Amino acid sequence: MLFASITLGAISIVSGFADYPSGAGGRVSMVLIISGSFLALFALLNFKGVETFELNKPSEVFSFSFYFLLSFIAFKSILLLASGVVDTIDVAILESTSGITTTAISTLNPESLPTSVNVLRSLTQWAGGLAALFLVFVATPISSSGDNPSAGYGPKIFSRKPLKRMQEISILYGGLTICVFVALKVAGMGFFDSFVHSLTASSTGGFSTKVSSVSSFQSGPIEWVLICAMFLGGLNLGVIWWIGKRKLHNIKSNNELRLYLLMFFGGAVLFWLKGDFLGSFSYQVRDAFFKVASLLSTTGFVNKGWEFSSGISAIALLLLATGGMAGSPGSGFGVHRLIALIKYLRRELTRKYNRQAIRKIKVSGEVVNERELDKLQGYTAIFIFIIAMGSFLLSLDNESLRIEDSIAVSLSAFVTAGPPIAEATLAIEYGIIGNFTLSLLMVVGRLSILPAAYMVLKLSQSIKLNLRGLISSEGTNDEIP
Amino acid sequence: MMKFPRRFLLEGLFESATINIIGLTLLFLTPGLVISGLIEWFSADSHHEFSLFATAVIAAVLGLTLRAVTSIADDSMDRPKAIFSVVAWSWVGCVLIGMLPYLFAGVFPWSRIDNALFETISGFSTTGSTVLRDIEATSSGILFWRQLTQWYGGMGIIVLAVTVLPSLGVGGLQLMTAESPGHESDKLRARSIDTAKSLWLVYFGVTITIALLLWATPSVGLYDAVAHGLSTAAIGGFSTKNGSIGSFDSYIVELIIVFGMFIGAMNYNLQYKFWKSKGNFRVFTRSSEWNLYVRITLSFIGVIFLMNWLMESVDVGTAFRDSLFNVVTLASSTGFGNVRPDGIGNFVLWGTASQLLLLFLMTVGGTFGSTAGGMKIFRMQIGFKALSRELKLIRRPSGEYPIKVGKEKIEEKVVASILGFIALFISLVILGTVSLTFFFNEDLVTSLSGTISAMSNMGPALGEAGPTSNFLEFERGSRSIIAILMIIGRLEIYAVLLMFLSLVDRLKVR
Repeated sequence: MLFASITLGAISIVSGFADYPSGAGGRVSMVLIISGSFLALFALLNFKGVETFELNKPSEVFSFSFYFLLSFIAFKSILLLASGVVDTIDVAILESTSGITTTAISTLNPESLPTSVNVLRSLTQWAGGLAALFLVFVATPISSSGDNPSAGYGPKIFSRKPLKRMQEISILYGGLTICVFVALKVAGMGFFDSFVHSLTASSTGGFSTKVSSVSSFQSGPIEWVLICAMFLGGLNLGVIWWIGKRKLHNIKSNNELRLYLLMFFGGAVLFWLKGDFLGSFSYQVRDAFFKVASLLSTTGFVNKGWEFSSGISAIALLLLATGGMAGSPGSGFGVHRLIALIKYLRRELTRKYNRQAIRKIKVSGEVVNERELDKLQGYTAIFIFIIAMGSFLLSLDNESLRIEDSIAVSLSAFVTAGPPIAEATLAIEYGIIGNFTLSLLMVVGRLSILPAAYMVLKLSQSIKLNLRGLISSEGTNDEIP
Repeated sequence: MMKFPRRFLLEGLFESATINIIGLTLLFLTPGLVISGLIEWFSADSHHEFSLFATAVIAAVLGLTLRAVTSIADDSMDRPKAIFSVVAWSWVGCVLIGMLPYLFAGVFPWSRIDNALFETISGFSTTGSTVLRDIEATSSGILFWRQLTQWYGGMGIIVLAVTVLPSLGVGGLQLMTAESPGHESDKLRARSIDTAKSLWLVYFGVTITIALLLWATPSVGLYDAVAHGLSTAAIGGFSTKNGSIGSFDSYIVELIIVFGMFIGAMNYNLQYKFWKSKGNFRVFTRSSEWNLYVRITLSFIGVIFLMNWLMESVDVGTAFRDSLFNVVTLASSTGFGNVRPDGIGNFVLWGTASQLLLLFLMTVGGTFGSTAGGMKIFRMQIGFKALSRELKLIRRPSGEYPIKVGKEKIEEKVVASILGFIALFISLVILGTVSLTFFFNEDLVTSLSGTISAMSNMGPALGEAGPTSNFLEFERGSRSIIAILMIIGRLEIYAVLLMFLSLVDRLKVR
């Protein structure tokens, strides 16, 4: 809670000063600065009480991430309501969740928002991306559990000391963001737009300053810069680190990277073949790469013609569901899991055919243990179940939603991407059930399934116990004469 | 030189379990073809009996020849490879012979042999998808043969469950009996062939019961009653009417069919025990899979009825009638339709939420040991239990949490196999959907639901493949993919995939 408070406090103060005191957002900026200062102060005062902070067990890591996320969402919702940016609590929760989980689902028109709010939104996504990287490279390796296949990545790629590792990751992530900012500026984007888009591209967030996202700019160079940024956003940060350290032999043996590249370039070819794109060859190629990069990295930027034909819609959903590499700020099923799943299925078949066959499953040279494989099966099944449940609830909320759109929106929220596969669904507004469903999907998608399920069960158990205690104490009180 | 005739007659020319059993399977088809031929002969409207009798002769001669020239070695069925080979090739044999009446009678021209193949695969796999444009214009003997292909398919599934799947560890007898230890030795005999005979008996009983109940109603004649009895017990879904069950426009007929479909998707082993125990209902209630099957079906009937009643503009009776029928037909993977002008039986017109629930039901399917398709409730049960174990393991990583169904502990290798099966099922659904959309431009909902429907041997699907649609609307290539998926789904995935592996292996060796 204190971590969430200080993070949001800092973001709010920076956002508040972004256009203070000029502009129409003067009042909003004031609210952001005051609330931000209050949150930061509250956190700093209470930090003294936190003497030891340990994340040694999986349950501790899950609890930390879960409560951080929930507190952040709660504080930001209050902030948005207080600043008058949104009117209802469900929309406030949706916006807050969308920001911190790096999803591009929003009901707001960014062009009508004050600069400070746009900065707040983009900084939130950037912080969400950094938090996701810390979770993968720092917190998960300590606890060495969860359903994240990259649990062992951190210490093998970066420094062994957690604090040093955090520093390295921050420098790399910040450096990437600055590179994207400079590239966008050179490509012809304005200062403010470049700033916002560099934050949301490197975090695979997808928030834009324009209502029609990247298609508003109608610029080839800008789209190419964003294609590269999204491609890098879907990459394992460790791969970029290795490139920087010139440890190319590590990259060569990484079959996760190979599959990611195959999906990226293969997907672009399929899109080009079946995407019904119009215009010159170079325009079609750019269009195909943009769509694949946005879907595969789960960023959610939208360019022109975001309406997929029948022939390509399943491929688009598949790319969206797969998501980026483990160790990227992106979400989704994960290329790593996909490799393990394919190898597992192949082994199952071989075993049925030849019972004596003993075959270890390796991903990027690392043997995947049997427990991880068991988890993977459960993860796959529940991944699909959650998307199905999400689409069911969304279709209950909005009767005009078609089946394919409800599945696409649910999947998009769950993998923290944002754009569905039809232009028609970009503008759909949901009711309370819809907004809460989307928020829940984003939280579960960002936390990953097993930790989220574990925390929900833990929370419900403690509520049950508290209620029982309350009832029994009331009963005891009654008996006292 | 003197030995040759003796070997030829008594032992066979060479040892081949596969060819021998193909011969036996073809001989099994002969009575069905003869009965269909006789129906055609006595039919007043058409005379295509030659096509059926000719096929019967071909099946009998070929069957006898294959049996005569081959013999089965004692140890030939010990290896899984041999079992897969037998199953796969018997299937191929049945389908190739089973499509001949359609071609001989001119129902499909020879240039459209793929349609005949599709209809036959749909029959033997008990799917119920059709490419017949006008069913009622087809002669009664041929239609009866069409119904019989589904019934034979149902019989085949029972054999599959008791002989093939146990060797794979993904289904079959060991899971059918997982919740009732010890009964294999007393009531249900351990030998698989005896078990199959016992289950066939129940299958016969169910077929006759449904046929008699239907015949007792005023709107169904003897021919239609028997025809629908065959396809209901097999959980097939073929009908002799263009409008399927909706053509009878009778509530009582629909209720009988609902009852038939409901018990058809119930474990035949439990039904056998119920029959042997002279009606002890606790046989069913003791099975957690049965309990879950009933709960899922009833709750889906309730939820979908409420949604239809509230969202569609129909009276409460119609909403209940159509919700009940369509939920049971999809939960049992039968695929009958009850579309009437005054009803809401065409479920592709229902709200998105209701259709999503139907899609879930299509995937789950019926129970183990029944003729129903789909992933099966038992596997879903194990899947959920494995998942809840994962959650427990997060809390206590060193804890031991065996998976139990009822009071029985399920072996870890069986759990692993089941989880693998679920993952494989999902992967094939994704692969099928992508193939249909990418190569044949089918829309996403039709492709996804069509793939699930084919894999679960359902018949109708959502989108363009609804209960009033015909699979002729699909492109030829799409139909081929759907037909392959039907076989994969019917033979519980592994058997087919391993058959291909076995084939590749043989080719490699040569």
